[in-house]
Amino acid sequence: MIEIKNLTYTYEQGTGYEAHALNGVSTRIPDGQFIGLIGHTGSGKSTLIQHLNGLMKATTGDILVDGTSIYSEHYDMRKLRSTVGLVFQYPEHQLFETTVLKDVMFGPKNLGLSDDAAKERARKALELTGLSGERFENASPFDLSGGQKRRAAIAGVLAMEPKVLILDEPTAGLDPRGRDEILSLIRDLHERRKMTVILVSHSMEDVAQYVERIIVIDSGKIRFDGTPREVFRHYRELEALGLAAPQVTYLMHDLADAGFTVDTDAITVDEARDSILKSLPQFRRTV
Amino acid sequence: MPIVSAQNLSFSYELRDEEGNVAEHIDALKGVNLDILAGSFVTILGANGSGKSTFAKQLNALLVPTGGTVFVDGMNTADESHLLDVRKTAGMVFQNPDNQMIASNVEEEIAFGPENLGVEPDDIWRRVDMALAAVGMNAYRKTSPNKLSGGQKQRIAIAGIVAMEPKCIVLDEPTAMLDPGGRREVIRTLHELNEKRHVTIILITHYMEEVVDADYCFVMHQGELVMSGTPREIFSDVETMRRLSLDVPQVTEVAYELQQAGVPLPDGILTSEELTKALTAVRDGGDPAAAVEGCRRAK
Repeated sequence: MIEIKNLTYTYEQGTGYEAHALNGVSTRIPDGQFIGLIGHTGSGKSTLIQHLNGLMKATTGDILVDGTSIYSEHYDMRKLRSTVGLVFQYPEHQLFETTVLKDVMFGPKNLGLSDDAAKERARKALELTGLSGERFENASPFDLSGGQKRRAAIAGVLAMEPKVLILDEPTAGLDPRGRDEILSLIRDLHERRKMTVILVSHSMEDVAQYVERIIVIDSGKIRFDGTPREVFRHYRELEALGLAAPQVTYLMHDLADAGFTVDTDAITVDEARDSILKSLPQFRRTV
Repeated sequence: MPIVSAQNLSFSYELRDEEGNVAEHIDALKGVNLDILAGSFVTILGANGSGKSTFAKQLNALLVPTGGTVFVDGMNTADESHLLDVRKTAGMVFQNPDNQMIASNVEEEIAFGPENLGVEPDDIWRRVDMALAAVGMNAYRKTSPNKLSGGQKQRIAIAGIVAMEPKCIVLDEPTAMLDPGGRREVIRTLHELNEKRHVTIILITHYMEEVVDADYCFVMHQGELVMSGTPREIFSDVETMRRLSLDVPQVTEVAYELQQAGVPLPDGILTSEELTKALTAVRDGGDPAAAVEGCRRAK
């Protein structure tokens, strides 16, 4: 469990340019939860996730990982970075080795593992991301397709065997199939490996489809925190924050305005279909 | 006359290994034929690796064909004597706005393009004013680009192109890195440029909802042009789109799912308004196809 207590991060403190990137953020992230973190560019969400694995240090406030403050003396930062794995935007830009296997082994070797142990972890991580077998292991990372490169980069983080996986816009720039592949991979890691996942995304449709809890950040503060259905109920306020609701939410509201008895909290295509069928007397039984 | 005409356009290149031997021969574009009408708003869809970015780079001669011909406003892009004129005619905007910003404030950023074209100073400032107004960023002319949001930066990148007064702007996934608000801003700006200033817009995107309001749409797959038509025609074929690693807008998908469950809806429903009207007709015993048709004509 991660506990964030009244976290503040101030840029250029004491100068005329002083600005709060985080302004009193408090929340708990229980083990095994799948969270969507949304907010417009510059809202503070990237700053927040960089605090969670110790890349940035809070100006005030505290972060407890499994009960221990990461700011306490002698805290093992290296261990924190393997416990909380962070996948940056466009992670494939960080691929550099001559083969995919070597690239994925880089992290575990840095943790001090032997070649054999690192190789075993890398193979496991590649299998999770659907890139197993010699064909991929020995390929140059630069010969992979866009979606495969991204999965190889995610494998590099998984090889550290983190308990918490944070991904910063992992689907940006991918085509719809590549996007679905990455998102179902993430869902798998959450469901089968019980990993805690924090997904930073600009796609409201993806967040609605996959996560169980949404945290909305604006001006360095948490503005909404709840299930996707609860949060997207505030779609007008979300728009004012530079965000939106999934397209089906707008459809359901239009239908309600036209006199249909539909569930205006529906946020996925399947939920919308079922709710619409129920509202049409002649099709009710097909649900 | 079309502003862009690709005639049997092919582009291939060779990958070489460390010793300089040919390791692989790649056909990125294979015999593409298409015309884009001046003043239209068109979108190009395709999976990663389908050739759409390679195609975009042909339009301002960043790449020239290895087979066939591309004409931009009647000029053959392979003719080097036209290079500057081709680039003045078709401006390009890329995915990451941060890679496109060079100046210390917004107005200098926008002035950079026309200055490079050798435009007279008075005319440069007229163009900067015009471009700022066109993208709705007047209030930010003295601001440093690094203080802007992603959507604002991308609008400045667009303004930098607008200041060169091109007839045509080609945008390669300009919204891929933006938040929903930024995406709305950029797409609205593009439609305004198209409607008020009659600039031809060629938009490459993975966001299907950005395609809905376009005049025409091209779909590429493995270097070939495989579909073309109005967004309604393209999105009527949900299964083909999925086979091509693409998608349809969420509202279209809901309509398709309802059709599969037996609700008598027409193909190619694109907007919430259309689906609401069609379902109202189904409920009240009217004609759903006529209801959608009515919506479309009202626009």
